[in-house]
Order: sequence, then structure tokens, then C-alpha cells
Amino acid sequence: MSKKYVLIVDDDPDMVETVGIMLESRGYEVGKAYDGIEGDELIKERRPDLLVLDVMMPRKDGYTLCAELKRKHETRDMPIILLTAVGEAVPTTSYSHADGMATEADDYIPKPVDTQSLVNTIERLFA
Amino acid sequence: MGKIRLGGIKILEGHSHLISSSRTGENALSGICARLAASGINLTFLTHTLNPDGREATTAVCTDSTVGFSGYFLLKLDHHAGLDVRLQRDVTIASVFPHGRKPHVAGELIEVLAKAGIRPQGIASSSSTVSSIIASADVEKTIDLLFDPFEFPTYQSPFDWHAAYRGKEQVLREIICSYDEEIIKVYGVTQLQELDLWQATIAFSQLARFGHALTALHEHGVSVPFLIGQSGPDMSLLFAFCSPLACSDQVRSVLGLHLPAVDFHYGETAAILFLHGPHFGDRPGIANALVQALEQAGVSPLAVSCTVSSISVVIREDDLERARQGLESRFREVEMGI
Repeated sequence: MSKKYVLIVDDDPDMVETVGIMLESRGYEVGKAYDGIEGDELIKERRPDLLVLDVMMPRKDGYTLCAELKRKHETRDMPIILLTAVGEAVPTTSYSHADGMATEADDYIPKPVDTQSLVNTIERLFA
Repeated sequence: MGKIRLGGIKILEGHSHLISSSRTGENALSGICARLAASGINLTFLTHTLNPDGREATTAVCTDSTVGFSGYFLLKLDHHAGLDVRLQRDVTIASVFPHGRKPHVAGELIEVLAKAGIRPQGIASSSSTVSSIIASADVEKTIDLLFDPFEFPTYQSPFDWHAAYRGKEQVLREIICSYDEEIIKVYGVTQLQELDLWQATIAFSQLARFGHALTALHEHGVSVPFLIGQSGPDMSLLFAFCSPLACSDQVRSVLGLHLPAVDFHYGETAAILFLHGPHFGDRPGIANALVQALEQAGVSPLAVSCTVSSISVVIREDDLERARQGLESRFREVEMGI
């Protein structure tokens, strides 16, 4: 059986590296992108089985990309997990939970990410 | 050789750079981190080396420029520390990623800057990134230069990069964190063992050759998981880097070929601990927590590199178990399943 392909999009390269190593160790094939534009281009080249998407990024943010993908016929059914620092630890941002819920993402995980929760969520969405 | 394909460039402008050297050696890092953390000064960049004889230490940090003077006076006015402190104002941290532990990324970066007459005032590596401190006046030129050895998937030219990023720094700056954790959550503590730690002072006139030597190490299949450079006297840079113990002969041969007049020191077997956590680059006190935890465990870091959202610390391999136990008192590792 071929490996499931998960694309991680985050402007924190250390985060991409850490989550990438963790997912590869769980048997997933991992793609990496460092902002929303690059993520969008990689999705056009090869549709991932699941997208892990950071919210606050320069250029195109995660909310915008998520909303665009959920509007497109070819990516509408692709599971998307939003990772966000919006919450108690980051009280000063203009991003909000309401914006996130409005994107129709399949799940919404606050940072700092409990990586076991992330894995559980991925496995649940693949089930 | 073709261009090296990377993921991106990150530019952090508006910083001050503090470089301190101390003859009290091992205690300098602890005191510096404690004083800056107590004043709530965030360090977006930190490098530290303990000289091979263990008597002198050099520590360099970057802070937001608004607190650069405060940091300078905090360190300068502490006469007991015996610190020689220098302040460089108006610097920028320019980072490229990912390096994948391949030394030609740092090598090409150093070589292209040196050949253009730009002296990086500091170099640091994280698990994914190579960062250099440059004078803010050199930012435009540096971005142009990065497109010589590197290519990036979503911007084909410096013009594309500027069009995409200029004026959008606010997205990054608006992330102001207020974590209040007694035990700091960390995504992962990764360790590498059986390493050499190489140290040398490189004159600016030799800098391009050093960059070329790093590229040659890559061609020999040598990985470099840790690299820092610090501003030294007379325009020199103090470099420290790690490579696998199994590659000692290759490294010595390459360095001897490219930099025959430079005396590279390498000492006892080293290990690296990498820590990566949420917003580590935006939160005051993270480096201090690490340094105090190691100190309480009786472990002296040989070298430290903090940039982006990671901390890399080089220790004697014999200290590894004590260091990990010490870190457990201040950092809680999320189960990564790696």
C-alpha cells in the first residue's frame, strides 16, 4: 500500500522540520512548504492526502489558503488541519478563532501543538 | 555546480548585536542570560563558545533595537562579571532554510558574502536554518547575492522576493507571546553523539576560503549539524562547528587543503542537544532556562546556537546523561514518537 502524502505548510522552518520528522517516523510521506503561496503551488503539482496548515504566515495566510481550497472542486474534500497560535498565549493578534471556524477546516489545533493530538487527528481523518 | 534549491529566506530587521568576551569563562553565559532574562529582554539570536582552554568565553546576542542600549548597559555596568562588551546597532538577521545539515548551504552563504566584501557579524544554525547577522545597510545587497548560489521555489529573483515580502513584516511582528509556563513545553529534544567540535579564528581575508571549505566538506559527504561564527578582533570571525567523529580525517584533510595557515582546534568527543519549542524565538527567558538547568546539573556548554525557534547546545559527550536529566527539570518534552 502506498504511503499517505501529508503536506506541511508553516513559516517556521524548525516547526516544519520537527513535524516532518515525526510524521515520517509514523510512515507518512511528507511534503514541506514555507508559506501559503508555496503550499498552494505544491498542491497544484500534487494533491496531498492531507494538509497541515499554519495560520499566521506572510504572503498568503492559512485562513485564506484554507478557504480557497475548500471552494475548489478538486481540493474540497482534502482534509485540512489548521495549526494556530491564536489563543491565550498570543492575545495580541488580529486573527481569531471565529475566522478559523469560518474556513471549514476539518480540524483546528492550537499551538503549542500536542503532537500526539496531531497524530491522533491525522489518523482519525484518514480512518 | 548548479544552484542549491532551498525553501526560503527570512529577514528580521531592526536589531542590535551585543558581543561580550569574558576571562571568567564558563560562568559568563549564565550571568549574561540571567541578567537579560530578568529584564525581560528577548534574544532572537544567541551564540556562545567556550575557548578550547576553558578560560575565555565569547557570547553574542541579538535583541530588538529598542532594547539594545538597555542590554548593553546591563552587561557593561556589571563590573563583577569582567565582561568586555561591544554593541553593534542597526543589524539584520538574514536566514536561509532548510540546510538539512549539509555544510554547503552555510558555505555558499559565507563565500558569497565574503566575496562581495560583506562581513557577517555572526552566524548561527538551528535544526533547519542558517542565520547571519549583517549590517542593515547591506540587506538589499545581501538579498540580491543570495540568488547567486541559491534558488527558491516561489520567487525567481530578488525582485519577486521584495514584491512578496516587503511591507508584510507586521504579520511576523504582531505575534507577541505571553506564555507563563513553570515547565516549558518543548516539541522535541533530539541528540546527536560521537561528534568533533572544531574551533578556529578566521581572518576576513580567509572567509571566502572557509566558505569554500564547508562546500568541499559537503562534496566529501560530511554533515555539519552545528555551526556558529562570532565577531572577533581585527575583523576576524571565531567559528565553531561539529562534524561526525567518523569523518575526522576527511575534515582535517579538507581544512588543511583550503586553509593551511589556520590552526583548527578540536577537543574531546562532543554531543549536541537540539530543543525546539513553540515561539522560542519570541519569548524572553528560554535560553536562560536552558543555561540554568545545565548549570544546576553541573554541565558547561562548549557552544550554543539559538536562532529561529530552536536551541542547539554542544556539550562533552560524557555530560549527555546529566544534561538530559537537568533539562527535564525545566522543559517538558511532548511525546513525539520519534
